[in-house]
Amino acid sequence: MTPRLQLTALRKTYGSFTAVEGTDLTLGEGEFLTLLGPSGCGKTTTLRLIGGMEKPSSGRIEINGKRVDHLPSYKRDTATVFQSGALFPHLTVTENMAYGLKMRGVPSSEIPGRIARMLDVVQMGRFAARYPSGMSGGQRQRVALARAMVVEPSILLFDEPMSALDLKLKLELRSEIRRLHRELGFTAVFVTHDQSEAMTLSDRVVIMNQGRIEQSGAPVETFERPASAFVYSFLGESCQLAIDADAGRDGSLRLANAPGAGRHLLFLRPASLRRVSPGEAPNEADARVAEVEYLGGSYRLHADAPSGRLSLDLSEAPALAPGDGVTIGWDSADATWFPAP
Amino acid sequence: MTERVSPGLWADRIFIGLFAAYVLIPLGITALMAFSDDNIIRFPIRGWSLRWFEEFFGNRRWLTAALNSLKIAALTACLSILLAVPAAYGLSRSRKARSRLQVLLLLPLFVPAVVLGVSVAIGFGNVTLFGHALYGSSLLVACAHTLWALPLAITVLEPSFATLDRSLVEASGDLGASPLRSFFTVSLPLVSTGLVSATLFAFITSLNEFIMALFLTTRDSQTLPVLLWLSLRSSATPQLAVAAILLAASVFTAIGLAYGWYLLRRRRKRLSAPMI
Repeated sequence: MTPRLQLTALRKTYGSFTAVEGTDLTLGEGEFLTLLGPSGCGKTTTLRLIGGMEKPSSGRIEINGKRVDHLPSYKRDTATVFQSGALFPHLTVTENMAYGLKMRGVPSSEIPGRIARMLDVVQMGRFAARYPSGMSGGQRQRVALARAMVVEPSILLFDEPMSALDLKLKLELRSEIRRLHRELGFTAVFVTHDQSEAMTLSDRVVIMNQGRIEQSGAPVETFERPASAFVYSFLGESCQLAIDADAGRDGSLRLANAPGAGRHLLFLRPASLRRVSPGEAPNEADARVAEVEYLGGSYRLHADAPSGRLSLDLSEAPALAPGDGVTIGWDSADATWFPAP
Repeated sequence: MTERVSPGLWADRIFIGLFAAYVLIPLGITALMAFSDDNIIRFPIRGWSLRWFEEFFGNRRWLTAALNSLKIAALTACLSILLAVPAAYGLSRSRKARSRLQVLLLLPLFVPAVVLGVSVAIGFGNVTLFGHALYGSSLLVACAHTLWALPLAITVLEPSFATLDRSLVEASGDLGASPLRSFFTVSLPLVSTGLVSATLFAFITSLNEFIMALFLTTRDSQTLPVLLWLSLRSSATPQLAVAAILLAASVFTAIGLAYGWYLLRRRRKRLSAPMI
């Protein structure tokens, strides 16, 4: 079956700056894909290339097997939910939603019905006659979502649609988008720098860094089997120990299985670390307490080992002061190794 | 106890009062004179009547001049806005050319009206278009007035286009509107306030303009200011005051209409504010 979207060696440069560097990506029908990465990683540029708001420097974009990279935005079957919502302030909610339908030549007899159904789906029916200025940020974003969905595009594009909302609204809209995807089964590319958004919403997460794809896979897979040091440290909290052949010669670091020659980075999640008595765990590091923070309900202990800082959560206040010695242990399965750059 | 007003605020009020008086006293006197029963303009006013209004509206020459003024002003407004919209849009989109072009566009404003009037008269004095002499036509006067009205219209419109939210234009394209449709359905409605102001500026500029009109009109196409001036030379009757007041009234009406339209828009937006 032809994929909904196929990017081949897609590249975008601005002068000497490379925003997107040879991206290949395939998106199946009904798939919810998230482009995740820090700001400036090329995720928004990739989205804008797909939507036609930017022209690629080279490479191919195919939607439903048809090459579209030479087509302007208005000739592509995509619809975008913009970061700001970008609702037309001079049009009511209904008129905003009718806009795309009219422009796409939907018969005018069909338009009111489709709008009404979609407004019901996003539970904004009673706002039909409002102007955008008369609505809250969350309501506006729901309408923006409805306006994009009502044209039933081949691919829905989301450009960080929740970044301007407060946390409560964010969570609300997030579960709303998840529900809509389940019910309507649209195909979506979602751009965000918020990993919890990416994890909860997506079938597949694509992690980008400096214009390149670092890893692509199911959320669980990227989190539990990160392909690179960047992915590991970008997703969730991490501790990082820089280890070479000399590390632990003084006995402060006791590893069950040491890496081969050369410098390596050992990554650990705070959740898999525990405070132990020496000799109790298969892997151990002796460290000095740097700081104990109260997190509300639990305590976070930061301790400096010779090869790096380790952090872990404790349920009870440790009777430790900065400078005290502490031993931290972990299981070999929880350790992830990457060669040092 | 009455509230104490700071000296600074008093100075403010006195200044505003003096300024208002400076502007309004001559206008007020003219307005009073329009209702004089006398045959000549003189004080004190001996009797009140509407006879000079009657005379004005019964006089073909004055009516034609008033109509000419409105016609030329409307034509100037149309020409200016038709040219100003693409020009302002273009200027707002090109950051590099903007400063240079802006100076060029504003240049006609600083050329004396006498020079412009004479130049246009010399340049187009003998030109005929489709068998009609261009000189003395409303079109030529409107074109000359556009030299002044256009820079003003562009100056008013350009910031409207420059502050237009680009993401709205992108959104319309994204929803399937070609650039042209997007321009007419999104950009233009969103700069409508600037559009109304620019049209108004052009209209009033033309209505008020006297010197170019003096050089470029014939007896048939002369405007109200021109006729006013010619009449002042021959006989100073209160009819002049009537004409002057009517000219001022049409300017204020134009401003009032634009302001009313602006308020109506604001109200419409507020009506759709959230019900709490």
